[in-house]
Amino acid sequence: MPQPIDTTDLSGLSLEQLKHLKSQYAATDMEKNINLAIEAASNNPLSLRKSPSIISVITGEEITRTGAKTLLDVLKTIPGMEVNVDVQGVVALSFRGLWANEGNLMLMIDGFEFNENAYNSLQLGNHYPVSDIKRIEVIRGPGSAIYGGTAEFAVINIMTQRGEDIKGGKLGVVAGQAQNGFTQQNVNWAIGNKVNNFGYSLTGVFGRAQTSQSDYKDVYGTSFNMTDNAPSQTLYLNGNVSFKNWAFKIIYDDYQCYTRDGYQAALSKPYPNYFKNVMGDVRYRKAIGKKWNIQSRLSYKQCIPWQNKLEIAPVDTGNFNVYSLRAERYKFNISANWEHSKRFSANFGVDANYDIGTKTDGELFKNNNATQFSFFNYAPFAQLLFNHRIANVTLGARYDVSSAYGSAFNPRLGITKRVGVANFKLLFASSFRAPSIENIDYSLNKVELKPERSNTIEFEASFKISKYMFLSANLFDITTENAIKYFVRSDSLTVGDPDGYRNSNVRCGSRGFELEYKYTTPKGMLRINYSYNSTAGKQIDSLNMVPGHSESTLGIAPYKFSVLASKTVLKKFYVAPSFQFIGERFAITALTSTGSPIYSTIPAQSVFNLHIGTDAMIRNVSLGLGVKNLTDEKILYPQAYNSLHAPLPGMGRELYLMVNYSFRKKEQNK
Amino acid sequence: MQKSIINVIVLFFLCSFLGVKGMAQQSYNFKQNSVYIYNFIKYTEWASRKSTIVVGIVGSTPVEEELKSLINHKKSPGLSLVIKRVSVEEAKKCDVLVVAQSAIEELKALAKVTDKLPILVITERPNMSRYGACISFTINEDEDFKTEYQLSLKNCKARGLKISDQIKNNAELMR
Repeated sequence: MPQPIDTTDLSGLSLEQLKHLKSQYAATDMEKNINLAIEAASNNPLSLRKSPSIISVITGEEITRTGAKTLLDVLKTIPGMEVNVDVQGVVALSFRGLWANEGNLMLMIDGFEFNENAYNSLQLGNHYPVSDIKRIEVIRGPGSAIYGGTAEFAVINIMTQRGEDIKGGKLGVVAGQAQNGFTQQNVNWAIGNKVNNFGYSLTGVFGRAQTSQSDYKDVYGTSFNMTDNAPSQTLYLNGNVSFKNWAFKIIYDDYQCYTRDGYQAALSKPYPNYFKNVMGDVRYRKAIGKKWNIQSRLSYKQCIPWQNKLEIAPVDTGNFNVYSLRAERYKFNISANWEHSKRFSANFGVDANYDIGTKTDGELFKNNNATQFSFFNYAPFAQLLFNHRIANVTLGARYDVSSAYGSAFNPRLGITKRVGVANFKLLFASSFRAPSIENIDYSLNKVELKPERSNTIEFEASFKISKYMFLSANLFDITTENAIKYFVRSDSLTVGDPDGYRNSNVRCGSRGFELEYKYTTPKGMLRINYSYNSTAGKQIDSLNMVPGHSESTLGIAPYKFSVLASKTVLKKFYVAPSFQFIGERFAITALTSTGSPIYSTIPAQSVFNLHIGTDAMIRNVSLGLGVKNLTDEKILYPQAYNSLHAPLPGMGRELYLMVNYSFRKKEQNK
Repeated sequence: MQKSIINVIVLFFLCSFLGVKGMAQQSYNFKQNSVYIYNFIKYTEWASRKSTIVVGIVGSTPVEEELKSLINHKKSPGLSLVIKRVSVEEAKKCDVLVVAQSAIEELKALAKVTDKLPILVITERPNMSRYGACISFTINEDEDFKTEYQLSLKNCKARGLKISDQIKNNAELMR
């Protein structure tokens, strides 16, 4: 073990000792941010500027200081991300002009994939909690070369607080109120600590919320008020124990959201969609000598998504059905990291998973006429990193082989170069979307679905303007082949199928650019971003097409502008205004007498929020008070594909209060 | 629409370059840099044997005082240093030149005046080998802001300087 260097007198130090001398430089928060080791972008964590991906990082402190109440509040501010409605009142994300809620965008919390395994979808809203977040890394680009078939367009990697971060406990309450009653009522908690080699934590949230209190009018012309017709409930627990090289984790996630928006008519009453995830794993990590590191993980995940288990009233039969499926995944991973030298490192390993789908509602899978359907997937992967004086080069690939849908090879190449305060990235990656259990089962005329394939090219230039300022700009081009599309009866390519999945017959995609400016000082922060996407030069599938508009797709704005700020005032308070502007969009709002969709324009949308907080008024207590949607803008979440659902209204002006009490264990005397 | 997009991109790059122009200086531990310089001198061989090494400081830098304090404090047998502030014109009389961050714009003129002379040119600004620097200090942000140095063997060789392995082994080698 090297001896600590005496820094009181440096005159006797050798060049080697000087090189390893700990820096006395006090890095600013902005500098710390851009030099963070990003875990999600490569198999071997690299700093934000060296990582071979376009990345946004949001820290837990930024979430607290800006008054974000849900994960949706945070993701809305990420360049390229927009909120759209899926079906049954579930809201989810589109990214860079493309609908991304069917296995195209991966959400990970502490290494667990949160996309359910039946359709690979996510359900945002008052769902995944933000109270225990330590950091979010958003990889604004493909991640299949590392994560496989649910990371085609982007990866959201959430790291939650562990015992060493919590060091005690905390209890928090969030309560929101709008004109017609409550909007959100959540209780969150965290306990944890780390003593020597033993760490533990248990975090959680329990609560309920309303999606909207506005009127909703479906495409068939029926309207109703959303108050009490679109509530949601959540219970989430995240437990973690670590000892030496071992870590054990378990997550329980139980979410329900109600809907009255049926498939061919409005429902007579709200019905719940149940989403339940239970996940657990054991991880082992071991350093062998100075150059080798091995890690292994065994995990189990059980999802019961989109479950409708209540009896359906006769008047609603056909428009909403009983549905229950259990999707299980057993997964094993082993990988090794080899630090050959400062100039070269390598990472390689293999992922293997076994998926089982079980129908628990009395129905049978169409493809085998049985209640159970299973498949096996394995994927060897490797990544090489060359640190050369001309540039840093990351070369990686993953080869997924599935017994259900064939194979997919996903190479990636990343070249990064820093020149003074400027940094450049040139990135290419192939990615794919693996057909999920229900994609395969609902494939058109039982024709085997091919994996959806995308090729993405990105270029980023960023500048560290000063210790407090960082500016980045990137261009992207995405081309997708065999896009897997969900259709309902109006699909142009199908005859006779009420609904299902098919591969697209055109090369879809988008291109555009994103700009981001960050200014962070000890007294506050400012984040401004602008994103633009277009389908110019690409083809559009008939399900996403807006007649007469060849440069945009259904439900998604071509541009978005976002400002997020936080400033300390009067020493004890912070004020955080934010603003989001989304350009004009198109949506299907009604049907003609012959059942053809009628397209309407949704005007550009401006949303102002204001948050005021303090953690210096009462000992151990932090308080936050704010208004979301200050001007009571009519927020709409249009559907980004044609499945005959009208835009879902969001929440109007809302007042909220946040109270957090925390206690920290006294540091042990050394 | 296309026009406004082009305007946004042009504005972005304009702001970026203006920002880069006014960028912050590197924040060094100058005591550490002075010991680095002392070691560079110790492990460099000049073609003709020197009894006294003249270290010229170009521009204002705290490293000047740190170096003076170091040589008062530390005596190395056979190594005698004289530290003095010099102008561009006086630079060719020195054996070592330390170019301060504030005087980096003088580097082109210095390279012209001292072309091929056996002078170890050290800059506080990184990536200066293309302007004739032998050694450039840099702060490695990826390594927790540690101070490191870049070495151009090509520039050292052009000036007839022999660099020992101690310097080479700990350097980031540049063209």
